[in-house]
Amino acid sequence: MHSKISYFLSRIFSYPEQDPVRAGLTQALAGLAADMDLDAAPSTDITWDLARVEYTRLFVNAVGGVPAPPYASVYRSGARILMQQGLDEAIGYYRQAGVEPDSGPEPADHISVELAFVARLLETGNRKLLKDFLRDHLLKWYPVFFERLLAAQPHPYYETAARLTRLFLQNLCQEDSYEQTTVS
Amino acid sequence: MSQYAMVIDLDRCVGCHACALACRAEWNIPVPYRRNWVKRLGPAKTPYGMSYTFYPGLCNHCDHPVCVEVCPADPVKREFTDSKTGKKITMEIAATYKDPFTGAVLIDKERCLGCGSCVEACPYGARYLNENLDNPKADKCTFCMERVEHGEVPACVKTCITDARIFGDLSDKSSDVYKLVHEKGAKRLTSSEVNIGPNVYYMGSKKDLHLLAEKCTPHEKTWENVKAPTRRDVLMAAIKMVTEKA
Amino acid sequence: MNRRRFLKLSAATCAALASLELENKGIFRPVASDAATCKGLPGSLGAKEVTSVCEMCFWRCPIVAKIKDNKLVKIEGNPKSPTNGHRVCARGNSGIQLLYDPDRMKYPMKRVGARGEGKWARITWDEALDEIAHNMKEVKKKYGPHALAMFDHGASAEFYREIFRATGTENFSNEPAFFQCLGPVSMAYLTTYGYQVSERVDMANAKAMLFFGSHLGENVHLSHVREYMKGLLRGAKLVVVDPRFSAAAGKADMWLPIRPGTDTALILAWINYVIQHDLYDKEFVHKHCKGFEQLRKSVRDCTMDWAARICDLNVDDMTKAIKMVAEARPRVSLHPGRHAAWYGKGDVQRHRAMGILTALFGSVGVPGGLYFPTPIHLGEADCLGEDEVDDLIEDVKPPETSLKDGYAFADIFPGSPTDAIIKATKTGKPYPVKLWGVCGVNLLQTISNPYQTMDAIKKLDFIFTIEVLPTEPAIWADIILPEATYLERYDAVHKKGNLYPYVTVRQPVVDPMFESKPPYWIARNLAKRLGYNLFTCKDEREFLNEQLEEIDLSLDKLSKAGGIVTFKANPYKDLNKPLGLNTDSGKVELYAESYDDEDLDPIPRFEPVPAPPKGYARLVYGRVPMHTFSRTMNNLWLSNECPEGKLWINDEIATRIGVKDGETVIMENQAGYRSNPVTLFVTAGIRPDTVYLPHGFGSRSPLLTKTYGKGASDQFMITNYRQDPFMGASGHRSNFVCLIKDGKKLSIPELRPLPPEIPRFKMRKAS
Ligand code: SF4
Ligand code: SF4
Ligand code: SF4
Repeated sequence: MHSKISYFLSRIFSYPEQDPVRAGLTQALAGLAADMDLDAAPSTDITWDLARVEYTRLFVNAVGGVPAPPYASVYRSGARILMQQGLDEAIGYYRQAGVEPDSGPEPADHISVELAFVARLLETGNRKLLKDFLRDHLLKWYPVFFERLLAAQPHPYYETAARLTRLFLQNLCQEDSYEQTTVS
Repeated sequence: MSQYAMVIDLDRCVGCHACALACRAEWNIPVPYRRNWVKRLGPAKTPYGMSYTFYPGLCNHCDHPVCVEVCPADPVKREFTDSKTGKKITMEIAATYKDPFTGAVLIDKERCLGCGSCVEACPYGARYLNENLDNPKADKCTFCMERVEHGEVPACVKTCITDARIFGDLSDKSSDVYKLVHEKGAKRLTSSEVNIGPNVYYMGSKKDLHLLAEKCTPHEKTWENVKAPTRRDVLMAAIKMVTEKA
Repeated sequence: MNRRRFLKLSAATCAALASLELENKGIFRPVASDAATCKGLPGSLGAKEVTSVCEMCFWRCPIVAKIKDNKLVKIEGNPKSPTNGHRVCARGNSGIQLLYDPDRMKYPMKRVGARGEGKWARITWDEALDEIAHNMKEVKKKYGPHALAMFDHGASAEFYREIFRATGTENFSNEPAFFQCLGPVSMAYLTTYGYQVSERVDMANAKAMLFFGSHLGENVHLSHVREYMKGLLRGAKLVVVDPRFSAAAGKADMWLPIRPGTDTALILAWINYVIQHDLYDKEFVHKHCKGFEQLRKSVRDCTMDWAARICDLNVDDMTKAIKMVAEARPRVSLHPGRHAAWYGKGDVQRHRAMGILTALFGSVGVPGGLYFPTPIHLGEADCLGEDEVDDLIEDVKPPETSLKDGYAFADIFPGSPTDAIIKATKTGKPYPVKLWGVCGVNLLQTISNPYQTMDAIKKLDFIFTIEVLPTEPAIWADIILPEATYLERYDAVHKKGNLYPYVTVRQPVVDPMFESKPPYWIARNLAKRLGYNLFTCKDEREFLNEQLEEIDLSLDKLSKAGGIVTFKANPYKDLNKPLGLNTDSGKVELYAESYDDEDLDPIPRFEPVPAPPKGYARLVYGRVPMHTFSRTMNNLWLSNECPEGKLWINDEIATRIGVKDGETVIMENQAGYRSNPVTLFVTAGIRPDTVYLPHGFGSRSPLLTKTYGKGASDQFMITNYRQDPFMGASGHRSNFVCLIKDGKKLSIPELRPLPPEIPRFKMRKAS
């Protein structure tokens, strides 16, 4: 089930190709937030149009610069540009897991790709690699990205997703028995 | 033994900054740090007429590198090999050291403690500490020794649009740098206070050299102000490094 | 939250997640076996190399891109290049930072807020192109073809231009680069020599060089700077005429700090002086020039004393300088100049005078002088569809009043004066212009009076831009298309017919990032939607091969040759034979009859331009070597090297008005417009009646995170301008500023009194 959560978060952080309400994303988001005791503002008012505009503003191009470019590269070593150390690191981990990114037009250190990788590691039970990936890579930049995203006052839909992701990743990192998910 | 050196001809230099950026690109040096720089000087009056010139600068790979003297890392024995003759020398070195065969002043990144002493010591401001790294390390120009070993010239020399940077072995009498230094009178940027044998030389018109000397010669014995890190600081830094490697 | 809770998901959530079909949908694939890397070697060593062509500026040096792990790690010059070799300039080195700039345009965008507000949604290419095509058709239907206008610059524009041409508009290519820059010098040398001399001046072989307001070295056109340096190292004398002590002045034997706006007076006096003192090349003039007698008579009264007073120079220096240059004849490189749109009115004549002086030295078709291009004849790529376009526009009627009307020679250049288009857009006269396509040009940081340009944009029915970076026009656009950078695309064959002729091609060194697309693809897909049968080649490779075939080349052959093929140059002429120039007389036209027919002076005359009003200094502008126009300011590396331009001010003036080097002030121009804060640079290297600001800073696009609001923009101070009467270029140097420090206005004292011949600019009430 944890891998599902991670895939789910990966989906939210990719461009909204569907209406988030109709596709059931807002519902799942609210459910997860409640289960994880996250005090989240409801985000069911998000329309598809609104999601597209907000995603564009937060992550693609915006006046004042994109507040939170969703790429590891921008944050690692303070590089501030794409395709640097952050990407090298990410690809290094992907290769260790025997895979290569096939992430379409986006660089492979996009948050959505990295979350999908977390999901994959959870699926395959590669605990050691997951731990390294989180500690030495993803959690090295996610917090900065998170701060910058929140400072831009995103729509509750993206705010909740960001908070949830932080909580989820932190717990994964601390948790050593996460693979024994229980479902009540 | 060789001593690599660089001569910068201000008559040729047009102040285009290509050198500074080729260095940045070659070694992926993050902004705002730099190993190689160009400062724009003037237009300003000099006793020899109005000058508008430039200070293309980099580590001088000094004969008496004060940056090396202040490095507090525990010395280790290291064997050096002369790539030309195959001759070997074993020396005790701290984390930063002067290569006995090339004269290049280098940093052993593995052992650098990131204390910043050398950064403070250098009177030319040639070093920086990259605070953005998970473990900050000192860094500076290497005279592109990694490239030179592979038969390439330094990145700044290669890109210089007017061939104003001349690089070579000062101990080789047939080299261009030897001729420019010993026959054409290329000059070092030194003062009576700071005279540590820099191996970057400058040549050009009187007015340009005058402005360069006036604006860019160091006068402060920066190395004397370096507070030696306490024994404890050094130990803590070393422990941190070991645990992080593990 | 405690651990137990973290592990516990409610059944409802599980069900919700389960219904989402979440899985590894093609995000990852197994590692291919050849994933080996070249990690072993340090820096750029051992990288894969792809040859291409730089476009950080428009000099277009041949380059090699170094690729490691599918990433561009370094750009160097192509060692096979006969011009730059393995060198690239600061900007060339920084191309990586354009490619990997997080601010770049990534997907097609549609405006969702008000125009100028900067609110967008990402859309698909289909949506974006449909919308553009729809609006182009609508506007054309409603207002006729001339209501469409395109502003363009750069290599990619060629394809889009074909589309606009096919609509039938007379406004299909309006290069601000021409109408704000090169126009007057092109015109002058076309008249005098019958070809676009541009920068074909053989400085490497000169014995003397003479520059008027050139910023060679501060404007880096790499091989051009190398030729200049070669000339200097071989001992050429250099005379620089410039109100500012430029980088070139720093290398000069003589610097003449001329009063701005008076260059023509100096040149005419020099022409007179060399004629009077027999310092000209009689044989050349006799054999190859037309109109010497008229010239001699016309400049008879232009004495050195007269010019000295007008130009605020000293007769001894002027004499020494012209003798120094004349002694070197015919090996004189009198640089024709590049940016020539200075004052509007006298610009063509100033460059005509320069061309005439060159001819008097016989510095034409000889080593060290003006030289001739070596043509390289490429095949016509049928697939562009030029014939098709001609058919399409056969029946289009020209407008009753053309935007070119009033400019005697505008017809010989493509497009209409930018000024005329903007005014037509704003006022609807002489006819309405309702749609703009903007490609690769920052209208607001390029064209005089950006306030007027913004007003005009508000009147448009539709505006789209094609961009790599979201510069100012993007804020105003209804649709923005993300174009691939020069490192991700092919362009037309790049040929250079100068001293070292060569042919090379730009090709992608990495795949286009995000959904950015190459211009050929964009143009082809837009043309289809408009129903134009253009761009029939399926891709750029086919099209390039068609072009190359004619000279017995192909992309493959070129690539085997290291990306570049060179030809023998034919730059000089046998002066014993007639030059056979493409002018009316076949000779060098000292006297231009065609001007006479249009009531323009056939021989240049000095016409003063207004001097600064009391309390103001003239604003001039120029370049820094780490930036190109206003295009590179958002480049992280280049911005770090030079984040903002400093305002140069004379040291004596600074003392008088109580400002210091490094202080921040605001400029206010003659119309009351104020600038962003700008840092002062106090120097003896500028005249007291002039201030100087490097061009292109002070970005007003908040989308450019690295440059927004840094420094001041010269362009936003340039609100007063005039058209030249030949082809309608706008002169930029008729603007005057005073300074404001801590809210207090500081007026600039006049240290160099004005002669009575020069009128003063009349202030109108500030708006
Ligand atoms: S220039 Fe500075 S860093 Fe370089 S060797 Fe000399 S003292 Fe050391
Ligand atoms: S590349 Fe050469 S010409 Fe340009 S600034 Fe550096 S030293 Fe000077
Ligand atoms: S001069 Fe510099 S920016 Fe211009 S094309 Fe050459 S390398 Fe590129």
